[in-house]
Parts: sequence; C-alpha cells; structure tokens
Amino acid sequence: MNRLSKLIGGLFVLFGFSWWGLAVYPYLSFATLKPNVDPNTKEVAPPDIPGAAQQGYRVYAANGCVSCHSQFVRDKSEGSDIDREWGKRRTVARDYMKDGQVFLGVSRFGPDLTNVGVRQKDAQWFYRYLYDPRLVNPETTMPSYRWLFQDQAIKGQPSQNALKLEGADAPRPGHEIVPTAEAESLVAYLLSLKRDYALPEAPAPQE
Amino acid sequence: MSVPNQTAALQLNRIAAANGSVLRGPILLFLISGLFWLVVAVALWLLSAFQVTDPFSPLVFPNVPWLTFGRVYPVAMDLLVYGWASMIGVGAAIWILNSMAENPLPGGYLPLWAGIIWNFGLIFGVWGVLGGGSTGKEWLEFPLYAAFPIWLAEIIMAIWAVALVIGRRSQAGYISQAFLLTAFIVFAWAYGSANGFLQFFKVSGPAEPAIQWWYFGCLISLWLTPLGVGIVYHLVPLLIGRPLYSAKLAIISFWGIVAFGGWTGIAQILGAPLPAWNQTTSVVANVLLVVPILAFATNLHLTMKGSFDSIKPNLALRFLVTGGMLFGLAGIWNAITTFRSVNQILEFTWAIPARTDLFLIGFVTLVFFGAIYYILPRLLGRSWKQTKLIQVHFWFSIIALGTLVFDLTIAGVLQGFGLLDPKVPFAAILDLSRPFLLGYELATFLIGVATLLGVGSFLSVLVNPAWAPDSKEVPEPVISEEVSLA
Repeated sequence: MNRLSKLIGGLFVLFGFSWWGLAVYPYLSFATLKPNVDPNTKEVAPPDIPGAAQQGYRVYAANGCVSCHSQFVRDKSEGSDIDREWGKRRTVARDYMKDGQVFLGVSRFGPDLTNVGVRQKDAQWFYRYLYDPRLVNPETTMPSYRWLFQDQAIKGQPSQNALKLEGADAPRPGHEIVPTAEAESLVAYLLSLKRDYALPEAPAPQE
Repeated sequence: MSVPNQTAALQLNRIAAANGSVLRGPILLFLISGLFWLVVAVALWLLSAFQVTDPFSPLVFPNVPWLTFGRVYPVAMDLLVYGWASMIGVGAAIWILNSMAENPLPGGYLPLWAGIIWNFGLIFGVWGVLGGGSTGKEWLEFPLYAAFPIWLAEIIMAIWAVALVIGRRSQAGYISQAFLLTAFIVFAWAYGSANGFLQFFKVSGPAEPAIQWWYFGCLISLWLTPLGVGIVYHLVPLLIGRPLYSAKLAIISFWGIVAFGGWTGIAQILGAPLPAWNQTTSVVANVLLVVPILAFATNLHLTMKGSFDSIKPNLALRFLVTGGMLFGLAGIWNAITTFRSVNQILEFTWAIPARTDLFLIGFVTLVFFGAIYYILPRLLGRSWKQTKLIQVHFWFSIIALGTLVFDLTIAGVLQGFGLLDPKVPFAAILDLSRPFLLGYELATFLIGVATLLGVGSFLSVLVNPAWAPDSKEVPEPVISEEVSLA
C-alpha cells in the first residue's frame, strides 16, 4: 500500500503539474481575453464574425480541412510565413477569441488559410475550387468536393451562385450546378478568415 | 533481487491463467478487437495515401462524402491509436497485472464490459467521423457520443487495475506494474479532461490548441509509452530467464517519463499563438525525455546482453526487443527534430507524421505484436504451428516501417526547404516531394501485407485445436523482473 500511495501521489504531483499548466491554466487565462478597441477610431479588433460564416466552421471541422491546411502565421524569425504573404504579421491568441473553433493545424500540404479571405474575396472562386480544384489551379492535388454541390433544373432565372463551368464540365442544358447550404456556409467561413486588422501585441514587421 | 519462491508462484499463476481463467474471455476480446481495428485502420490508411498523392486515382470518390481524404485519414489514425494500440495494450496489461497480483479478482466481468463498451465507442467514432461529425481536432476527432464510451471503458479498466493492485497477495512491487497503472490512470484523466474541456465545456478558442496538444503529449508519452515499456519490462526478462539488468535505470525511466511526458505535446505546434513559456517548456521536456528513454533502452540492451542469440528462435522476443530498441531511436529522433533549427525545416511537413509513425508503427506496433505472440499461446494452451508465417511477418513489418519512415522523412525535408524559401512557389514544393509520396503509397501497402500476415498468424493459433507444447518456442520463466517501485 505504501508503495502504491507513493506512486499515485507522485503521479498526481508530476503529471498534475502539466495538466494544470497546459490545460487548466490556459482554460482560465484565455477566458479573460478582451477585444482591442482602438482609442481613436473606436474600431474593435478582432471584428465579429458575420452571421453567414458562423456555422461554416462545422463543415471545415467535419471534412478534415485541418489535415492539410494550417491557420496560423508565425513570426518572421520562425519561418517564411510572412514572406509568403500568408499574413502581414504573426497571429496571436486574441486573433482567435471570436472563432467558433480554432484550427491551427500541423500540416501545410496545402497553403495556410489564416488570411485566405484577404487573398480571395470572390465566392465564385471558392465554389469553383471546391467543385474541382483543377479548374482553378491545375497543379494542386486537393481532392474535389463535388458532393457539396447539386445539379438542379433551372427554374426561371439561373441562380446567382450557380457555378460557371465550361466544356466537358458544363451542366446539361437547362440545368445548373449550385452549392448546397453546407458549401455556402463553408465558403462564408473561408471568406471571413481575415486577420488584417492591427493588434498592439503583434505589430507588422518593418521592411 | 530475485525471489525464487515468488517466481514459482508466478509460474503457477500463469499456468492457472492458461487453463480457464475468468480473464481468458476479456483478454481474447481485447486482442481480437485490436487486430480487427488494425485491419480497418490500415485499409483506410492505404486508401487515404492513394487519395492524397494522386487526385486522379480511381480511389478518389468526389461524390461520396464519407470516403474523402479529410474524413478517411483521421479515422485511420484514430483507429490505429484507440482501436489497435489501445485495445492490445489493455489486453496485454490485463494479462500482466493479473499474473503479478497472484490472486485474480473474482469475476472477469469488469474487463469484459470494458471491452464491449470500448468497441461500441469505436464503432460510434468511425460512424461519426465518416458521417461528418468529426470535431476537426487532430487525434480527438471522435465526437462526444464516441469519446464518452471509450472514456467510460477506460475508467472501468483503471478502477479494475487499481483494485487488483491494492488487493494483491504479493507484497512485491514490479516496475511494469507501475508503468501499466500509470498508463491507466493518466489516460483516463487526460482523455476525460481533454474531451471535457474541448467538447463539453467548450473552452474559449485560444485555449483549444494548448489543451489539444497537451493531450497529444499525454496520449503518446503517458498512455502508449508506458503500455509498451511495461510490456517490454515484464516479458523480456521472462523470455530470456534473467532479471532486468538494473532496477535503478528502470526507476529513472519511470519517473522521467512521468515527469516530462505531459509537457511534450506543445512542441508539435511551435510558433503557434500560445505563450512562449509553453513552447519553451515543451521543447525542453522533449529533450529531457531522452534521459528516461535512453535509460530504458540501455537497460533493455544490458538485460539482453549475452542473450541476443535467443531473438532468432524466439519470435515474440524478437518483436519485443526490436520494438524496444526502436523506442530509443524514436526518442532521440524526436528530441533532434524538436530543436528550433531542425524544427523550422520540418514543421508542417510529412516528416512530422513520419516521426509519429516511427513511434506508432515501430515501437508500439512491434512490441504489441510481440505481446500477442507471447500471450496468445499461453492463453489458449496452444503453440505456434506456423512460425514461418511469424518470421515473414517480422521482416515485412521492418521493411514496411523503413519504407514509410524513410520516404515520408525525405519528402518532408524537401518540402521543408521549399516552404522555408518564399521564392519557391507552392506548386513546386509538391513536385519536389511527389516521388517520395509514391514511396508512401508503397509503404502503406507493405503495412497492409504485414498486417495480414500478423492476423494470419493469430488466426492460425486461434483455430488450431492441438495442444503441442514446444519447449523451444515457450521457454519457461525462471526469474521474474523483480524491481521495487521506489
């Protein structure tokens, strides 16, 4: 019994220390983060996430986008993230405080998406990329997500969101390919990924 | 150090265990389930490897959501860890803890229930993630309705293990007992609190990565590591008939892993928006972890010294010792790649999964197959008829592991230098690493073959009714590994 209590006591102290430091303490300390309010312009950073994008993170999570795409920009001294124009500055904890879920990711088999909404502002671009990545970027190995789209007969006016497809990809006459609700919320989420505001703790590096 | 009387009791207990113990059912359930999930995991892994290297492969199904890479790959990895490694580890731990306690708990119903609940958790997990319910957090993809049963099963096992050790007749404390108990207690704690914080209490965003990667460190260093190390520390001395070389080294390896293991995970995401001290501590912990790992590897080497010839005829020993030595290699490689200068090249590349695979497919898988090859014939009172099959399995495992780790690491290094230079366009990085990703496809195929060989060997004993004791294959334990806890 003596040895067993020593073992369990040692476990609680030694392992409990890492539990406190890396699970409980972040849980408590990050809960008190406050957004930054610019004293001159009264602008709040990070801004609120637009309503349309609020459910999109679930589609991002469900389909394992994080398996290939990261969402953080490291300091200039840590890598080429800033030189690759994935962001003007490194990202800090406050950048993520309003996110429904944080997807830092450990793989960059695809490019970083921290600021993908800054680089691409056209929803059609994202729809075409998800439908068939090779339509936009012939070099990519990203899988296509055709099941996020549906083929429907055109009733009256063609849908605003209908994919512009040509040649062999074009839908049958009288039909159009439109994004499903899942695809719409995913693209709204991707468009919302813009960390282009300023935060005092992460100034953009001077050239 | 050795106490012959206890050893005799241990032997008797083993024979009792082999002849109709109440625990035979539960142990078999865990072993069979583990192998089943390994087959599923490897099949999905193979599929995902083809999908990720070639978008035009016939194995890409753009119209079938549940067969897309982003769902298949996480399920494969989760099943490797929670299906294969965890279930075999628990099965082997039941055997080992029971044989050391000298008085089995009445009734094997607790482990039996745990095994059944665990399998249901995995079924829900596969169903959930493939069906689009993934949490999107690496290694914690299982939604609550799958994570909870697994956690419950694990709690049952932890209670069973602690009760068994408290009620043990033998007052001796063994080092492998300490490792296995630690694994059970820490995993119940870590898996429960990680899922609790992330899924149940829904912590605020910025805290998620800290908790998630803290958990990953625990999963590797305080669940799979102590299971594997406990198995090696227990079975190797029994198989060669000599005690562990050094009790001191064993104790260093134990407390070192307990002290540093929980801090190691954050090093997976260096440069992330987390406090600098988290990241520095984690790098230091990964480097310090080399001390207990080398203490273990040295101890294993010195214990084996003079007995290395016996790894040729004794196949279980061959798997255990090779796996144990690979743990030393994985530990050193892990420390090297955590250093800032190296990590800057390898972070975000294929070299990172390669590092995990060296641990998971090298150390864990080989040791656990060794445990299966040791336990199964004793559990059923049968001997291996097809030792050739096991030999082929061993060599296939080694070749598959080598191909996998080599290709992914080289692909990762090329990818890493490409990523580091902003003048290299993103598409060119892919071209650099593509030939090695074809090697990755081959490697997952070889792992598939190795898996089938292992399953074939297992089945050959399971369906073989002959009781044919073979003194060469089943050497009797002479002296147990008698090492006190502290």
